[in-house]
Amino acid sequence: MLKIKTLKRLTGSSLKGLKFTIGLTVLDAFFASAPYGFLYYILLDMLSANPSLQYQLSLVMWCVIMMVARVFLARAIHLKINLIGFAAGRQIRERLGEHLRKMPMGFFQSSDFGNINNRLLKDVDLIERIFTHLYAPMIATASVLIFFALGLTLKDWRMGLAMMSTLPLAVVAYWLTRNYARKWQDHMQGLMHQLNDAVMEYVDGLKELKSHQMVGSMFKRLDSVLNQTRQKAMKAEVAAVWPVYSFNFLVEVGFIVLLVAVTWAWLGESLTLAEVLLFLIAATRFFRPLLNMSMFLAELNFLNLAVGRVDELIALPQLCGGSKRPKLQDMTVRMEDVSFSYPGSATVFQHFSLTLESGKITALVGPSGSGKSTAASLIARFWELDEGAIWVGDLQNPVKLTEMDEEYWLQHVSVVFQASYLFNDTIANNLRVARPGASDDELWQALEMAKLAARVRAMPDGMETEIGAAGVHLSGGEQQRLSIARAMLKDAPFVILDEATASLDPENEYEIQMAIQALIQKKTVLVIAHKLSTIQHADQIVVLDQGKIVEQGQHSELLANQSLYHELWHLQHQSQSWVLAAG
Amino acid sequence: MKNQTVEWFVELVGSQKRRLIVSMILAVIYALLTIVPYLIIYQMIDGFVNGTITGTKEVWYWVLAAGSALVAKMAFQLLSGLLSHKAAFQLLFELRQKLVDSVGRLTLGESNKQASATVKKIIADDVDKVETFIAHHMPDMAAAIVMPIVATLALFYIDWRLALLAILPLPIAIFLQVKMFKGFNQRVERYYQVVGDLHICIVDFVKSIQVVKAFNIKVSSYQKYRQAVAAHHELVTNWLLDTKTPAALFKLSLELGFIFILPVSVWLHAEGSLSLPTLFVFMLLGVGLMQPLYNLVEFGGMFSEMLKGVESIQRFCTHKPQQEGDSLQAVVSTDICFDQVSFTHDGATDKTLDEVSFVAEQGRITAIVGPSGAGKTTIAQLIPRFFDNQSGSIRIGGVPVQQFPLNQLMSLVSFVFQDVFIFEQSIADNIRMGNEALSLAEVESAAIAACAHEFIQEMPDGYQTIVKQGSLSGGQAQRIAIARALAKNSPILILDEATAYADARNEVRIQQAISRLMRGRTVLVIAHRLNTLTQVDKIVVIQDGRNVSQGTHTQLLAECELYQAMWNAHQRTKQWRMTEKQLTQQSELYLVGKETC
Repeated sequence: MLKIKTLKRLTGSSLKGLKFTIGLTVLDAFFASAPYGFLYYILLDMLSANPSLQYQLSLVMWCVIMMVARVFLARAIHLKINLIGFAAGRQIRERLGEHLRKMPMGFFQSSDFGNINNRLLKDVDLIERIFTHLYAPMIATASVLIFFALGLTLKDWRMGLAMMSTLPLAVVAYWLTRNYARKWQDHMQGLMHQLNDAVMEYVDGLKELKSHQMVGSMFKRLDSVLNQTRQKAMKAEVAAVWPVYSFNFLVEVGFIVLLVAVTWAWLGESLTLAEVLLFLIAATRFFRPLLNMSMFLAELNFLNLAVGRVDELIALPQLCGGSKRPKLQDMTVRMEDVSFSYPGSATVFQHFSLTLESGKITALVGPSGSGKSTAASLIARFWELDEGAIWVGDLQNPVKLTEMDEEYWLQHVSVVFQASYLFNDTIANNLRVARPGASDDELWQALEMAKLAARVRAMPDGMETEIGAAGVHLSGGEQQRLSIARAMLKDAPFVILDEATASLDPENEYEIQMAIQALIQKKTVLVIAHKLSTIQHADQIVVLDQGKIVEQGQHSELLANQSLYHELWHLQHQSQSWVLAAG
Repeated sequence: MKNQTVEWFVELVGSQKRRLIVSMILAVIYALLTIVPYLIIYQMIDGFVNGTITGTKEVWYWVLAAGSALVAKMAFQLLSGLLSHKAAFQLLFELRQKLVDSVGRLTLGESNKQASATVKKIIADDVDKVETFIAHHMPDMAAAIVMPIVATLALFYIDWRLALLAILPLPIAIFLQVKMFKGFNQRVERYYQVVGDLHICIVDFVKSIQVVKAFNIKVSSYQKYRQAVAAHHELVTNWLLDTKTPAALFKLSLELGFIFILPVSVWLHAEGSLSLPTLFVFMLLGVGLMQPLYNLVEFGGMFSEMLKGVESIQRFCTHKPQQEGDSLQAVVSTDICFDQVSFTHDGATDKTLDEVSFVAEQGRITAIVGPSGAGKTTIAQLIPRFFDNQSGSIRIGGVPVQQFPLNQLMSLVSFVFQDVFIFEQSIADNIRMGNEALSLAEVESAAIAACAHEFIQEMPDGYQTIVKQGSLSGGQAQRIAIARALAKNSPILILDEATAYADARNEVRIQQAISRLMRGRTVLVIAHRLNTLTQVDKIVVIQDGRNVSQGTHTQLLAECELYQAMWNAHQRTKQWRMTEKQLTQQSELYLVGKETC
């Protein structure tokens, strides 16, 4: 219930001092309960034939001492448990950070950044909260309950039982109604998800909704979700109230049962007045924490969800990397009998084989969804294969990609992303990412080759201009060229190129073409091509359709085949000769 | 600001005033009934000790009374809660509707600024906080205030000396609270700064992992992330160390009543000026007297939290809506006329458009071309008033666009943008877009004309297949957009020509569909590829937000330098081939090569 084991696993250490702190908390709870025992003896003495003030004051003295002890205990517990919580939070953040660094790159392409951010920020905060707000009070409350139950039952078992008589009923009622409540809660949560989705859709699609006069209540999907939430919310709330309310109600009934029992025993003279007073006073101390307990449990449930989510992320498999760092002179890459499907979706490749020759340009073409980008991602180790292997190096002495050190392999590969991440830093530092020791001259040379030098020279601080600073915004085409400049500096022997499909004006497009031209000199190149005209001189053109190679060869051979490539080629020509005119 | 927000909030809650007041009254009764059973038991013990209660039957009456009060208390608590929830949910609904309306009235410029996640947060989370406050905290707060006050009064009535001791924890608690909040504002500011930093570093770290891996960087974002985590840890730890004593003792201080009352009452009892039943009732009621106040402190935090949410809600709801014409305008022609139109984006220093003038004639195709950043898209967005121009005028058939009711303006204009948005609903509804009058046959014929019928039929439920953003390929989504425009059938079409197509098959079909869509309409095209413009009626060339020239393709090619330059650049890109040959040789080589294809 407290998930200590999971938390230990997540923090990666032993949560040092937690047991000791729990011990202190139990001691504190004892000091909070014991004075009521002393109170009983004071009352007893008051009611006796010859009461002694001195005796009573000596008992009071003990109570004062215990209170003083509690002051120190409270400080120590507060300090310790918070320190443990904060340390745990930090450890979990650090572990998650380490873990994420070892995840396959594909993970980051397929997951929602918002979700990962929430794990690292909010969920860890919630886990800290378990320590800082929940553990100590919950254990203290539980201990007080146990001390009172024990003490009173030992004093008079009949009254003890009466006091706790409805407790089992309350627990049963809680469990019985909880499923019903949970069903409604899930339902409500579903509605809230729908509401969120509908709102996102409303805002994201606002342009379109406006132009079709579907703003406000005219957007039926959102409107109906709003109406439903209003209607269902009340029912859900009533359902949600049942477990807590029936629990609380039965607990209160317990007090009535005790009152009746005490009165009955008192009238029957099997209970002294001092005992009557003791039980009634103690009952108020007993029932209040009991009511708090149900709140603690609800919160614990909620916080445990965060523990679960973080645990789920930690449990995701990391890239299983080998450690080989062979000298790679021949950059031939062979995919052999590869099967692959994206996590939780349909198969992309089944027994797929493809060879990319060292020093040559290989182009992948085919309709969208044919597997072009996936093949490139697999070579760049964004994902693990389901079956088969990718080999690198000359045919006599190839190395399996999975046996190679991931970092080492990625040093040999440049991927020109369509949208590359730029740090909020200077242009120079964004470039030096690719080659840390690069001189300014080298950077300028790379910018020159990427056709970006003129633009950077015109910036207020040249290469030392901060990207994202006032007025310095790079267009999509410029970002792409910066990404090419990075690849240029990295100078990796294997280049993966995802040909731009994004909107670029002609000048920009021409500059990028020039930059790419410079980049691929003397490299082994894999191009994911969208325009057939640009790759007609590639050494090898591989035509994919639905994860299979349908044709392979050079441009003229493929045209002669009169098959898919031929069809695509002609379609492209047709579309290029199209002009805007009403038809 | 804060006062205004509170005022606005009170006004908002006004519609549910009656329910809320009744709910709070019920909560107060509930609070009173919490004390009553203890007082009854006290009376019973007191009567017994003093000998005023003698019969067994009488004792049982008192017990019955105490029990009934307890049960009644539970009933009142339930009623109060139900009522407050009812009010809260109605309020929530109204608030959300209001927000949705307000968001819909934002101009596109404003709604772009408000990322959808922000709006989602406001409509879902901030509004929910209002619910929690109204449904839970308001009645609870009423109870938490009333109960200690009434109990204190009762105790003062019974024995003022002990009552004074019972409220003694209050000043101590306040003292500790004040100590705890010393320097709170600076701390909170620093805290938010550090958390903000942490957030930025997390985002940076996660987003950059791909680059970090690709370039095998050792330092930067991960180090920064670790530093931010450490800084956060250090800050909260320091905060803890600075406030540990008051923070730890605050809760304990509320339990001090016992230790104050006990010694004095032992002494007073020995002196004979305190009866046992009085000691008893103070042990029942006086000891925990101040504990509800602990909740009150928490309410304070929640209230300011909620107020922060209400502030964002208010900002939306009180936003000034776009002015529009109030009567339908007669549309005699659909000529679109830009007359010296200037426009500056909010917060920008440079004009995006500077005195742009041109006419797009009815039934003709007019294309806008220019280098990227010239202002082409802005021109298209000004016509349907996604933004409002600051000077000059835009007229449709001689009527300034501001004089149309927005609905009429929208019905005159259709758009096909590059970024198509697909709503989570059936394909048919995605084409209908709210026009329920369209029969399925009409939807189908629009889809057929948009070359979309074929792929729609191949989907599992045909036209009834539920799709959403991302479930169609780019080319398919674009054809749905064209079908939408065909179904809408408005006389003006604004077309943002796509530059990106998934594959050649799609491209050809989209082109066919666009040709059909343009038939018989006044068309304004934002063009990116010059080779498609050889046949259009008019080309308007703009650069840096200014008119450069206009005319047909042949005219411009002869007269306009910018157009010539663009045309040449365009020709070059078309001829580019990826090879390892030297750059200089390339152009000649393939210019020759091109002749043959």
